[in-house]
Amino acid sequence: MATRGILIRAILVVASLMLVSCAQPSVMQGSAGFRPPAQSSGQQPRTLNSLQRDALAAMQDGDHDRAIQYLQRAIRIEPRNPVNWHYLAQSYRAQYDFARCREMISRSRAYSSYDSILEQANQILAAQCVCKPGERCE
Amino acid sequence: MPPRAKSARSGKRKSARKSAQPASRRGWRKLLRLALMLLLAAGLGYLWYLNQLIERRFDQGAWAKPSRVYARPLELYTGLALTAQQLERELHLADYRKVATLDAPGQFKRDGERIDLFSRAFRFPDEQQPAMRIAIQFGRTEIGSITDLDTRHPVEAFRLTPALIGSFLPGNGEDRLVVDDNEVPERLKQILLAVEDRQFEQHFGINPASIIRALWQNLQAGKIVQGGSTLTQQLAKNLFLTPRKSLLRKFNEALLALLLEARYDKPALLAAYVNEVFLLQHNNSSVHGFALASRFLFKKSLDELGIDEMALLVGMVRGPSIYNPLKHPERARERRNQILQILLETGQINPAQRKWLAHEPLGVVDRLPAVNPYPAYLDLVKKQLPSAYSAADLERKGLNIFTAFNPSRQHQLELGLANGLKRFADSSVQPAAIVADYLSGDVVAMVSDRQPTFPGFNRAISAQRPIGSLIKPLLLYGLVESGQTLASLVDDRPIRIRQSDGAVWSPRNFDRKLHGRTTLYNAFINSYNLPFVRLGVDQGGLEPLVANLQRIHLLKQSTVYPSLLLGSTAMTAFEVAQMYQVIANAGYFAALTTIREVVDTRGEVLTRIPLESRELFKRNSMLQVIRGLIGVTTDGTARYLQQRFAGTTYAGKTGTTNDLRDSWFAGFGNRHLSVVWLGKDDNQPVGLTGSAGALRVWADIMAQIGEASLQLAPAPALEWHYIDRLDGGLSKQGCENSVLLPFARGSAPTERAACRGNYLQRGLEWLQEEF
Repeated sequence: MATRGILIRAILVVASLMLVSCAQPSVMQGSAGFRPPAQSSGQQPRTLNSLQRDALAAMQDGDHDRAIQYLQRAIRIEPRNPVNWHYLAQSYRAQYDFARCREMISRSRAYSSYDSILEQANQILAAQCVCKPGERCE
Repeated sequence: MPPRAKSARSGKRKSARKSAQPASRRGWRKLLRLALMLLLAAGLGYLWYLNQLIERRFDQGAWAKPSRVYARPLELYTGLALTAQQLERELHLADYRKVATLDAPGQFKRDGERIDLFSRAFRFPDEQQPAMRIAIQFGRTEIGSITDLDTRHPVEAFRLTPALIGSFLPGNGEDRLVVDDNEVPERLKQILLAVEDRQFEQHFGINPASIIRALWQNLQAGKIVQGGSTLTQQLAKNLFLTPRKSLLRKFNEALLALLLEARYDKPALLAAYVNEVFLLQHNNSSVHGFALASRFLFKKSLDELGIDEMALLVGMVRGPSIYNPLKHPERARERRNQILQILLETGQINPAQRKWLAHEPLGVVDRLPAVNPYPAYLDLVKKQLPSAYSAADLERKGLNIFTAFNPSRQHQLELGLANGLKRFADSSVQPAAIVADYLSGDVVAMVSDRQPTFPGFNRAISAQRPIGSLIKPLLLYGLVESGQTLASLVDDRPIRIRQSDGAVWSPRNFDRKLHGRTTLYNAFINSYNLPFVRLGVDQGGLEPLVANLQRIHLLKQSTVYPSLLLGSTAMTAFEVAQMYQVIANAGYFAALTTIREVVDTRGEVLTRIPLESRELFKRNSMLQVIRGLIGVTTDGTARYLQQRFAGTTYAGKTGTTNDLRDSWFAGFGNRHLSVVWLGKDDNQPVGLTGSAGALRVWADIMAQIGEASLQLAPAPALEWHYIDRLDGGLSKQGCENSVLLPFARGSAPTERAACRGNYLQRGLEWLQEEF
């Protein structure tokens, strides 16, 4: 009797699993196609090295206007790349435009939630983009 | 003959005679002298006047230089989703010519999935890009590689010369591209002088020998067969006089020519002629100068022209309409070959060249480009230009305005719109549609009429229409911010509101039904009105809505009525796009803009619009709103999209107004946002809901664009749970009505919902519990 019960249960389990796996897509009524965001940075941005390189070179030369031009071009190509937004924030900080600096950091953080190194860099930069008494700020 | 010296005796006799002359004769002489002096003074005054005339035209900016509006430069890079066919279209729009062999800038050749390109040098606002020869190899849907054909090195990123998309012409309709003397090829100057004025370098404005010769020939012929005008006289006539033939005009022409020669050197006068001469009539504008005529007829700059093409342009000077190569190609060919004969006679070409060139086709375009093919977009450019630029500045100063306009997107928008409008038999239905990049705030395409090139009333930026349920996402945001979740339960029951004027407002659902208690998510995706009015009035949802509209400068009313909760406020399609930009961008506001830079004729940047990204709304709350908008397209009023684009996630909202007067849809994918409005100019019902009208057109547009599936960025502060969308309890994947929704950490419901409908799932649950 007990053996028969186990057998019936085993058959039921296998049959149910097969049916469920077959039926799964149609069961997702209404929500088909929607996927929750990946917990890691699934949309790994490709980097246009040349524009980023040119921007960094311009920043090194102190030509932040030029750096901003390169970074804006890079962002229009890869708007979800948090690194470009971070560098843009750096350029604005160098120009004492702290309001814009903070805005760009916020945007960088929106795309770098799971990138701890960049997150740390953004936090440090955010602390620097605060206008202190006696400083020339915009 | 020089006057001879006069003796003292004869002088005395004269004075004696003089005294004997009657007084009246002396009076006449005085009068004559006076008249001569007056005449001299008048002559001098007239010369001074002509001199002033010349000064005004030459020294203070000879010509009105229309400002030019450019599309965005296409950034080419490995991996860019672009096909060879799409690039070919972009190249045509940027006036590139398809050839068999690349030998000059402005050319390209295509070999299957490879395009070789000889780019033009171009001064971008941030840098000068030299002319380059590059090869672009395409993969199936994207650029596989870009190679510099001269160095054989890979090129990482390359900007294509932007297409010219419009001009701000002066009131007289004169259009020209002004070039400096050093930009005019020597060969063109030689051909022009050989044909029009061989003595140009020698004469002083007029050429007496030439005038006498012309007079003699005209007398012999009994009519005017030859003009004796020098190039300077022609310039004087073109600049200052009417074409009417009269002796007085000829006299003025000669005087002006003399003055011009006295004031300016020969190269300046020749350059002025090259820029001034009238060559084509194009709709309501007249094309002046060789540079623009060359651009229009050959899609070439002057330095790209061949001898035969220069000969044709110079030949057209004598009769622009008679020798118009588009209307009278045979006459134009004959005239060109006459010019080639002159070049042979003057030794500029040899007989073999003449023979070969005379057999060349004219090489002109099939038809001239439209003067202003994108009137809706240009209107917005004009509106968004800083007020520092007056209409006169735009018409005269030759500014270069660089915009975010994307010709490919515009083409796709126009195609999609045309396909969509075919669905409706009523030809009085008018559209307004906008496509924007919501991540940057760039407005990339716009249409405001059934006929996109019609430059009439711009509905997209001027037609203020009630927006209906398009307001609900902003209302939902306020509710989420105040602690509601998508799983919160709301009541879909009747509500009566007594307004401040005593009137009673009893809103209804669009389907006239009541749905009882349901989740906020379900009410939102199905656009139920009653729960939102109730939440707005009873739970303070109206005030945040007002504040949020104010935050994006879209609060139109000074007095706020509860009907605002159902979108009684009027907005333009452009303003709706602005509202959805900040929603789609998860709370980051970027003012929708057409203009990137305004540059003057020297290349100096006068205005630069930086990328904007202001966090006006909280990202985590806005992500919950976006989830609601996705639900609209999968389970709600826009579920048509789920059927049409299976497997692709879009987010959006339908909007319908009273008596079906306005049909709206605003939605977005992974990069682009588009707003479509359908309605009638006389405010009569269009007879379409948002779902039946604008949504279908929106889908047709997105089908053309091929918009990628929306992917929400990860947000650590949110947690995701399966919820029963009807009763708001925790559910499981696979249960009927279960949906995956985001919640601020710790705010998800804790009560479980029954897993209805799905017996297999329930069976599985039972088995899991049993074992």
